[in-house]
Amino acid sequence: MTDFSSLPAMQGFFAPTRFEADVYDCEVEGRVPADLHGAFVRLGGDWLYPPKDPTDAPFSQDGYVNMFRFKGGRVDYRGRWVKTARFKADQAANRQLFGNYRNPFTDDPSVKSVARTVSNTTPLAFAGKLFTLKEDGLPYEIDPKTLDTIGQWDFHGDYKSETFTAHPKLDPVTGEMITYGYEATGLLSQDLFLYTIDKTGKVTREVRLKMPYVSMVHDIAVTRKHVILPVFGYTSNLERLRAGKVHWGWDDSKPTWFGIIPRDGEAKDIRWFKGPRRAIIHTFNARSVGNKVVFEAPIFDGPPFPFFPPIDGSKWDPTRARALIRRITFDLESKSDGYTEEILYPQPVVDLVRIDNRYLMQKQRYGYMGYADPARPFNQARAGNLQGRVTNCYGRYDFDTGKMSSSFFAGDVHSLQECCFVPRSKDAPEGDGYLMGVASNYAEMRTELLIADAMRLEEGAIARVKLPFRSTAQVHGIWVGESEVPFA
Amino acid sequence: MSALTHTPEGAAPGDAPAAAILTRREFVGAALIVGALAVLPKWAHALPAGAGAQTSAAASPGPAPAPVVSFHMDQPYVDYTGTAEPFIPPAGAQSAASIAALDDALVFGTLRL
Repeated sequence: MTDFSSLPAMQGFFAPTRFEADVYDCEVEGRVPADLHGAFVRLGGDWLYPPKDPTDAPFSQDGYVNMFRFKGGRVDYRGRWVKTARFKADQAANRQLFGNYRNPFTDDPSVKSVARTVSNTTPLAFAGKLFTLKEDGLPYEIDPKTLDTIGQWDFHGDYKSETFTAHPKLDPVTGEMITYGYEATGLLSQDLFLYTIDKTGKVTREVRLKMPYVSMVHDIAVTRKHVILPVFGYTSNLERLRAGKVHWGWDDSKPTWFGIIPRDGEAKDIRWFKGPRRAIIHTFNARSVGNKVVFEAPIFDGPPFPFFPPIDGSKWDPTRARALIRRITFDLESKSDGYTEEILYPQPVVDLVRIDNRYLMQKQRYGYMGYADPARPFNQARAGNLQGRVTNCYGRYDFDTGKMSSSFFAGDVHSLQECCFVPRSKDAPEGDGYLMGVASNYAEMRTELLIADAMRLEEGAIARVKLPFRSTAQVHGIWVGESEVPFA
Repeated sequence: MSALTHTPEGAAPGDAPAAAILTRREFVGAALIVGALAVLPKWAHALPAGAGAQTSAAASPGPAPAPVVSFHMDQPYVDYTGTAEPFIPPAGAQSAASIAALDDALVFGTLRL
């Protein structure tokens, strides 16, 4: 019998939803811009069955893909489970067969040969196809019209890594995808395979690299000339997996490493830079300037996730789980393996950051992200004691001025998930477009998609697309233009 | 804007341990402990001189911390150290009401610690 009642973090607003949904012509407050054609595609997780171990990380939730489909000023919603091999195995057994996050030692013996990925992190539109991604397995291809799961995709057999990433980079000039998989040759391996895949989906380049230690390489950055690979203190080993723990633990003694390799280089060309402990989960962007590589990201001083605790048994420290916008500059002419780090903005932000993707691999002016503004009103009577702990604002950070130049307030019972920038047109200047993202409305127990003019965030939402229920929590969401995949 | 130059062996200023922040739960816990003169090692330094000598309870361990449902980056999580600020939904509201109904004993009893 399925029972979530004993799991305190899965109750109320955070209870699993466990249904697939279609909402035709959603209720909208305001006006949906008529020039938005395509879909805001979101990917996150939901529990089909309760975790085997209540201490498991939420990142083990089964993948759930959903989209707000925009056409002619109307919005439809569709949500579907990502029907992975793991989902199907659990469904057939009527129970959870898989154990802790990325720890096959905790699985039921019957699923030893079943792919473990729940494919719950990032949607991707590439080469005319729609995919769901997670870093512990191959992508799943999704039918963009129905959101039905088609199956795993290995790029015609030419992608050899056992793993992929949730953050491949699409070159806005060539249409190529720069992507990778770490733990590429199996559980706990130090191998990272780096790939270039052309815009038709054909693998054109593979480089096999060794990492300094087993680490969560969740995101990378790419310039027109280089690839930057961050390696930091989330690490793992056989001992902790045999003990039944989740894959990652934080090791404070591990230095941060950055590997920098030319996009056309070989494994021997990688250069490693070393610095003090940091955590880099997501990145804004990077660029090559002469013999320097400039990398910008929200960077933590310590481990950001309470469910991947320190390996020394110390308690997780929320004061170190604050991301600050930083710039790191690597001098490729220097003989030192050090680098320069600047804190660009002193206030913490949510590290789910975005830019106008047309500016990937070159200098961008604006970055977009959520943050908590405790000065904004919060209705505790209707939404609980989350003051200061909700993401109540989106901000536009101006890298030229160093200021949060514009901000959007979601509401006094809301918390925002990751935003997405959509250019007003193909040729619109940087920053001219829409900022959209989903908010949880804690008082009314439902989800809203908020759309704002990215040049006038202070004016608030120009449209609120209101779902009559709680949609699953998103990890990442992307805008997919009408012509990128066959929606119809 | 501030800049740090990292050298491989150099300890950056940002490496200094963050100052401890007393959470509400820690504060309440400390007050109760001091009141009962049940001195946990963690709080021993905060007691008046001689307070430890007044009680032999200093050598006995305190109660195990009860897990707390807290909230981080828009998701609830269970803090096993019991030191996080608990998530308290509004009384009578439908938002997460069932979390409010859980007491520490129930949470403690349902988790494998």
